[in-house]
Amino acid sequence: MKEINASSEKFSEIVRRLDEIAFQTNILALNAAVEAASAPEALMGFAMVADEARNLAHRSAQAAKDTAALIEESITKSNEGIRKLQLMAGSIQEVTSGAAQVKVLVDEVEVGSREQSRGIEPIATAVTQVEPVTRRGAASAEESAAASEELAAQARALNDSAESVRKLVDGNSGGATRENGTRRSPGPLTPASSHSADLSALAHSLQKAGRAKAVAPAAVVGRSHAGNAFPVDDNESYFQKVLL
Amino acid sequence: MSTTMTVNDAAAAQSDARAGKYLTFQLSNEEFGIRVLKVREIMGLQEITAVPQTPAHIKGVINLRGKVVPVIDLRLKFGLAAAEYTQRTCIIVTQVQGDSGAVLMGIVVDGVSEVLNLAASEIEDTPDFGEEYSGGYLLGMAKVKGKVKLLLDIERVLSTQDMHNLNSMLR
Repeated sequence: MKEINASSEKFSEIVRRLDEIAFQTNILALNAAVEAASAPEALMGFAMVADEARNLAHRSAQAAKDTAALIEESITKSNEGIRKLQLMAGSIQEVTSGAAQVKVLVDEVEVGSREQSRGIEPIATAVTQVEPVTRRGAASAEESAAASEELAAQARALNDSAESVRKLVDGNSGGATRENGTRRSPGPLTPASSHSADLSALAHSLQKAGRAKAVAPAAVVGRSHAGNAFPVDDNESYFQKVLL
Repeated sequence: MSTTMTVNDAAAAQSDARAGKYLTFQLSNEEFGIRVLKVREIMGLQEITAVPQTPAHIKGVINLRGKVVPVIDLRLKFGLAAAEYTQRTCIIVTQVQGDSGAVLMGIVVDGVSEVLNLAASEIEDTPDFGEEYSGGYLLGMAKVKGKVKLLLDIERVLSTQDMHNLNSMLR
């Protein structure tokens, strides 16, 4: 910018010199005209020359004036340029200060994240500590699942055996009762007969309760077919009684 | 009608003597003219040696190629406000009739314009300004391009009194 100013000053200097030269030429021409005015007719050509010189001086003066105007304009424009540059410099400074603020904020963010990571570390440790416990829990859950399965299997087996027992009771009451009777009371010598006696007693009681009279004696007479004579419900309750 | 014609003719005849070439110059926004034949030389402003005990309008003397020439400031002589001398300021060296032959005398003007060839029809007599008008140093008025230029009788402007003073001073 200083250079621009300096060069425009130089321009003004040149223009000033041009102007001066034009002025001197003008004076010269006027002197020639004065000289020519007092000259005899024979030297009239000289007056013409003086006139031409004067015209030239005028033209150079005009040119100097135009140049001066142009330079003035360019100086004004360069001044405008300087002003805009200054504005720009101001804006850049604002941008710089803004960037500095951003940097401060980013630094704060960085400190915050560092603190965050420091805080996360114990959490990570805690999680790693929790992990084996969870694993153990999972293991025991598996164990308990296995045990439950085992239990389920045993229950099924029990159910099966119960079923088979029921079948035994249903299909072959004699064999079953004998077996049962043997287990329950090893004492009596004729378990089958005693059991039959029980059965007959039961049938008798049922008969008493108001069951069909025709069925009851048949049940009593055909011991082996007694189960068929009774309804399933009664049979079961009987079975339960026997088991208990 | 015929009377006016006669008057005009008379004026034309009178102004014929005034027709000719004039050097015009500026002085305080006005244009003046002096006969080119009275002009010896035009020069840019140069160093003027002040002479003590002289009126304010006598600026001093210059050395014109080995000749000492007195210089008067026409602004001050005409009672106009003094002005700073600029690049345009010129000294017109005139040749006037003195007591003992022709004398050279410089006048400081704001700037010289051109040499004009004025026809008799372009020159009018100076109007009557009234009795208190003291200056008889006007040859007439020149009408050029809608403007009026005052034509000076430089012999009367540079009065004998001034020249006496200067001549005695320079002697």
